Amino acid sequence: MKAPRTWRTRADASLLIRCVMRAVDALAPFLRAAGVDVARVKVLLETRLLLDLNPLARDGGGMGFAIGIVLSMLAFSMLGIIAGVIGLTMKRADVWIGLGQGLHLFQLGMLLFAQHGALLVDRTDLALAAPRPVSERTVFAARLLHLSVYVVLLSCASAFFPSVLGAFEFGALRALVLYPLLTLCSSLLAVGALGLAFALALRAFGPQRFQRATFWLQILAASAAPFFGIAVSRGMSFGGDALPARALEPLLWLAPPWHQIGLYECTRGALDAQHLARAALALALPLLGMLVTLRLASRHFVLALLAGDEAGGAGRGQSGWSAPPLARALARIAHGATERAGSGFAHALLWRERTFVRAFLPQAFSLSMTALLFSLPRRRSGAASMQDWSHAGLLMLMLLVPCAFEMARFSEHAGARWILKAAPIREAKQLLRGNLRALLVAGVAPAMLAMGALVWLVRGGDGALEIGYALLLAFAAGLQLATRLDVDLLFTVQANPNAANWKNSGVIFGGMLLVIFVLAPFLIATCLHPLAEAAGIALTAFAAWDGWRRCMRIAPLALRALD
Amino acid sequence: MTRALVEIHGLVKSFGAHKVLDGIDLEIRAGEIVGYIGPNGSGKSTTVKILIGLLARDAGEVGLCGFDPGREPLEAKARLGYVPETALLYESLTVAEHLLFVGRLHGLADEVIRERADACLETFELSGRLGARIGTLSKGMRQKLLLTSALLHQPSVVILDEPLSGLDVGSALLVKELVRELAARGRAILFCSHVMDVVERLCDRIAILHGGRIAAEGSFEELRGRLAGGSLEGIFAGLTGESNGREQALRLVERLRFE
Repeated sequence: MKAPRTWRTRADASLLIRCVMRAVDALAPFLRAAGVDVARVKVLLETRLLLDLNPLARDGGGMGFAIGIVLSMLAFSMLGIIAGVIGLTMKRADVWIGLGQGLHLFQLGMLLFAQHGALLVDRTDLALAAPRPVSERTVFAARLLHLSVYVVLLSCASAFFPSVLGAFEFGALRALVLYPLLTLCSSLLAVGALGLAFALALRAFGPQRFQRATFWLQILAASAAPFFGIAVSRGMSFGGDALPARALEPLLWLAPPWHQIGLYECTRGALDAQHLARAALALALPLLGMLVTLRLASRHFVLALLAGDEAGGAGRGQSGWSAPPLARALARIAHGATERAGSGFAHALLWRERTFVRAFLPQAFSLSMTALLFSLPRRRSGAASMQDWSHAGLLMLMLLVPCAFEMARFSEHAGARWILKAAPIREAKQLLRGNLRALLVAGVAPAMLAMGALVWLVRGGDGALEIGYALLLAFAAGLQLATRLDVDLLFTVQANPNAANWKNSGVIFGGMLLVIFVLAPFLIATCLHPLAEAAGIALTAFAAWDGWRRCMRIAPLALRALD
Repeated sequence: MTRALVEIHGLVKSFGAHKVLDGIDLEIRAGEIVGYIGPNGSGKSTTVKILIGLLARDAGEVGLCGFDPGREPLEAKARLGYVPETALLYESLTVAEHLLFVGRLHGLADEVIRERADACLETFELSGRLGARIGTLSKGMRQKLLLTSALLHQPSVVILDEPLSGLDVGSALLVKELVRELAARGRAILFCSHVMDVVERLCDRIAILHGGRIAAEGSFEELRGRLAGGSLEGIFAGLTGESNGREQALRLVERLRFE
């Protein structure tokens, strides 16, 4: 029966929500088998999607979320092009599938663990679900399905080019049907792995330590992801053999993404026991993973979400009016009370604000590990005299600055910005100056310096000047790039996917290209001669000073209306 | 006669086609406590938001200590202390960090903030919680923190929106006495509440808002003399057309088919 007009919601008009609900209906037998209450999971899922889709008119934005998804889809399709072209030119199905699915799994794993894992532990709908008769497993399932909706969209982008390009070489049916199916299986496997990790963490650490455990799990996974990427690229043999490194073959043929090749072979009529087993594994593993995950997530999930966050309990390590030395130093160098308020506030919240910590730290670790991997000296085969440019990997750290600026805008408690609105602030710039100074001094700079020190130690105390130069260049470029961002006063925007700023996302995306096409060549070119290096360092130091000065003059966007 | 610290004349505010405030006139003089009451959605919070400068008005004049919050927001806000109805705060800040933040926003030196806050927190029995994260405080403690924040800069006008919400009996008594004492020292107090007996006993004057207009205004005795109803609750119900709720409750229970 159709609802009266006054009772119709955006869910009734949304094509996405209607499609998702149909898909959940189709999955109902599986969900019931996993112990999920299908009717209630649909209610929770619909609400979560509605919250994503509802433009927060009074909070500005509204398109940010869609733009974020489109940018992610763009990044996924770009990797798809690489896999498709390599598979097509090598005319090898194992490379086409193995490389394509490996890259997809790697990118999706990074995204899920570093960013979207937070969707599993956010508290958006808890007030709605916690006091009502909804099982913990159902709440967990709603979150997994919510995550899966976006993962499926990304899978479409990832599968598009390899499928289209593969159709020319591997048969239209196999390319246009099998490849997307394999991509979907890989995606569900990744979501299942994330869910399983969280469910195991809940079992192992209990509700009180769940938030902290999953937070470190995210960091660990995001840090390990670059290693996985390198393992995939090195494990793939391009030299005539159909499978990864021979010595590991017995184990690897069962491991994702290699097991999917079995399904491809079966569709070609090679129905031997090995291929059949691998095909069955390729199809069953994602569902099995989801099933185990949901069975495990049966207790204390809501309690775990309601428990204290990773920032810890009450006032640990601080008593009374005393402030940490860095906060005192920041207060001392501030000009006037407003700037002091800005830096004290930002310094205090920086490593406690759940939204920022959950978003920034895994990305920072992931970027740092990537930078570290690229910065390790290579084995020199034959050309011993060839100069080592590996320290250029540190330039990746440039992205920490704009990422920190973007992510520190958000807070779960942004409604408290009424305090700023009700205060007699003569110049919001001063407040932001304090904010940004604390963010750079207490957040970004220590991370960059720590990574520089680590690279220096790993290289055996070699090339301190080059490392320092690369770090300075990364910092200067990061500051310059950050001046292009739309900046809000810190922690004043309600954490919500719709609040993402499309311009900032574009600037950060462009920053990646800047590292590859401008900064790295500049660093390498200026290191070719001592005089050029000296000039490069001087120019970079000037750019850093200028970037800092310009950052300290940024005018914040007007404080958003209160919700 | 003392000067009016809060002046509202012909205040109009609409949201789309819905006129929330339709020509409000209200003055609060130094030393006066004015109760501002009205049914849900009558425009109390809208008036307060306009006074604080969180919302722009459509028409009319508003003054806080002679400054227009719309045109001279800094001067007006510097003289204003505000306790909101909902205690939205940065929960990861400690009590000390929050107070330093708010005090600094008002341009106070850290020593002054500490001295005044220590006095308030001692009175509110919160001294031991200086290092505690706000997220760990009870509702009553947060309310006390909001009161402390509102008084740090010694405002001339204090706007209290449901200030007794979540407070225990002792703390509620303390806050009521504090409000009286502030008024005795020349502060103008706007007291918004749904708790009629508190408004009846505490406020020098009461303004009843209904349908976007002030339906009645005066001391409790004046209102009782003019309008029917022995208590403020009765006067309020008579003016706003609110019933005592018994009949509506009965009808609802029947419609919901409770056995």
